[in-house]
Amino acid sequence: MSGLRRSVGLALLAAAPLLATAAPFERSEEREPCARFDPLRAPFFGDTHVHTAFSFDANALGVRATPRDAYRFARGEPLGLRPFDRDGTPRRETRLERPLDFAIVTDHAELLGETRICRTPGLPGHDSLVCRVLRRWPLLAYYMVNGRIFNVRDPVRYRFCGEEGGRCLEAAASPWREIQAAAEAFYDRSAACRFTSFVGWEWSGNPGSHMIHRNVIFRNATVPALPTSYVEEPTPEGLWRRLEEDCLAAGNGCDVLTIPHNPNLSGGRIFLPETSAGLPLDAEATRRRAALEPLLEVMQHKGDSECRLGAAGRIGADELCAFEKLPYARMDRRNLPFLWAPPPPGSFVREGLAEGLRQQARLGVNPFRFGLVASTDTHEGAAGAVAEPDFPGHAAGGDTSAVEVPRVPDAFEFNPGGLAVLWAEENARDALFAAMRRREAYGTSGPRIVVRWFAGWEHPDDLCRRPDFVARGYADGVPMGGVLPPPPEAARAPAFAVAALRDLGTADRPGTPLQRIQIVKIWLAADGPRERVFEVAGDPGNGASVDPATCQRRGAGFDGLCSVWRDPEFDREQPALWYARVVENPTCRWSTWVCIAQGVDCARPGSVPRELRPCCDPGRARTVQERAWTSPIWYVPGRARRATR
Amino acid sequence: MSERASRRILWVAFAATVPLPFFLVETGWVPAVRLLLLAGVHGAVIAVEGTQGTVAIAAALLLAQAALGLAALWVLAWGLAQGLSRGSPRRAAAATWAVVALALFVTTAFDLYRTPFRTPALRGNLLVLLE
Repeated sequence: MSGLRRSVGLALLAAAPLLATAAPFERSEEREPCARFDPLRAPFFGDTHVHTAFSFDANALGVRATPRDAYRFARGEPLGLRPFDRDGTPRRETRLERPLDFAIVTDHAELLGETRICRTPGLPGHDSLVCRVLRRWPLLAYYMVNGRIFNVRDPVRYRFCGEEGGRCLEAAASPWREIQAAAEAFYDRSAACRFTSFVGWEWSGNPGSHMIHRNVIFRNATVPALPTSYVEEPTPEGLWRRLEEDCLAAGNGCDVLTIPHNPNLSGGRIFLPETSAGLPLDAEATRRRAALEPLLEVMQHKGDSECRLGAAGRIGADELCAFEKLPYARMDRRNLPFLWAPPPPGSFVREGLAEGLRQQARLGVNPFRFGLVASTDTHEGAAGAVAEPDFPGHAAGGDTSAVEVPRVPDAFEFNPGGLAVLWAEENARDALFAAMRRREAYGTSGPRIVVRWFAGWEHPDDLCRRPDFVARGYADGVPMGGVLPPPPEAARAPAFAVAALRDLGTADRPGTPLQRIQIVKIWLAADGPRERVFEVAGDPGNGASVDPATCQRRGAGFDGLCSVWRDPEFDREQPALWYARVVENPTCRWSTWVCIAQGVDCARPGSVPRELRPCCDPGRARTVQERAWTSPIWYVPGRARRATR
Repeated sequence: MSERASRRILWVAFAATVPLPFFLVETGWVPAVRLLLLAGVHGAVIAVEGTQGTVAIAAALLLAQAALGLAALWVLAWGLAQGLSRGSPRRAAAATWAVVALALFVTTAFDLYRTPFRTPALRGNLLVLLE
């Protein structure tokens, strides 16, 4: 361990005896206290977006993992994967190198009951035509049902669901109970606090094939009687209203938040400055949204949503944005390349953050003040399976390995997804939920990079060298996800203290050194939003590379990086936000590992099987620079305050 | 065997064996009867569940592809039948059945089909298709 890494590591992770300014979280459940409680908080790595065979699409693709299997896998046990032999033996298996700290099974609320009916002989509706089609032609049913339930503006249940869908709603109660029971069974309520599960579901609105999905996550075991799906509430506003009625206002200790994902596939609809009815946002609706939606999934299996491809200088683009981008902007056009077009405005996180500043100036409330996490969106139940070298595939978007062991485990344009990291005092539901709520969270594209990020007006320039880095960070400023307090009269600019540690990896597979830390600033100028990317630590020109023929890494990098940076362009009259991006040295993309393992020889094109031809497409990325994105820190002129919610 | 009978037999055989391009979200190569079968499934769903969603468009696309394919196969069968029936009726019958047998043999022996709704489309022969 280098001297710098040691000092940065001590600064980031060493517990301090007291924490003067961070408010303790409320406890909403009875459980044994965690033996390890760190008032300066520790990073917990997890996956907030996991599907199992309870989700209709995963089920149609032949996935058999249950929520219990997903939690077992997250805790380090092996998971059997498609295809299955006739006797049910899986022909593939995968296992995490390192267990997760937490995971959330978020099966689609839509068709929860229908899936159960179609797969359970004897239930009323089991012999319906649609169920027969599902069992005979699962993928045909997958598209048919997508076209009726998910991708339309006014979804209608199938007739076999009975009067007002009652039969299917009733059938949904059973899997919903099993989801809760699985979360409870794998939640470590002992003092060891090894693993935390949450109860959740995914609301999967897809009007016009524009993805406006939300993961719904509950703080504790008190949850509504049934999940609210896109069929019952076909707008996000309806979902939030129902969550307020069924949970927040129920007076039974229920608490909830929602996390949108895939703005890259939303057609700009996640960051629209209007309601689903086309009305301008008002302050009340904006407050509701901001309270319920503190986080956003910046990256997952179906692509990165941070920023768009394009030249630097416009909002939402820089040279490092060429990372895990999907070539299409709507999932229903995946197989129609002649209809591919760049995602419309508002399809990326930076554009949403910029729109938030604009709306804040207009309404006094920011509807898009969200922190960032990443997750997998696995449909195999493989929570946290993010390692590029042995990516098992996540079975989304019509892929099937149900029939034969695939040469390529997933579609080339997809990726293993990322992880959510929460800074919390202990690994228990209340502490982790509080971290999500105050946005003290960040996302990584897979590696377990540790990042701390504070902003304040009085951070000393030598903060990185001080052992009380974290305590001072909290005491003199705000952590990631916070809002800067009003500046003192004498303050020229806020100081940002950012420190990162590389992922150490495992003995068999060491992590990759860091290359640099950047700070992305977005501000609202008189003529509209602006952005700029600052290099604040590391060496963008370190010459590190990877050989795509062998995946051998070359060149040096950093074990740890730390910097105290003052914004040279700060204007106290301009609303602004900043987030940090920590970038690793280049490594092989998962597809490159597959191409090497399959012995693809592009010099002999005739020898390359059809599925592996993309290995030889020079337009496809062979390497990636894995990264972490922190939640932003905001500055609001005149009315700034420290935000804990 | 008359030219008309030969044409009909060939047309049915081609409809059951000749791989035609398929497109409905997925792409593939399947015989016309498979297209008709899938169109029939969609039709049945429409009859039971109504036209809500994209099921009617899908059924129309399948029917259109099947109709185009069957028309092309009819032209092929017509041309071939004309050629085969230039000799005696017995020879025409033998030649017709030989073509049918050849079509069945080739599509059974080789993986000519790419069945839709399995991505990447599963390669298979006639027996796989009938599974």
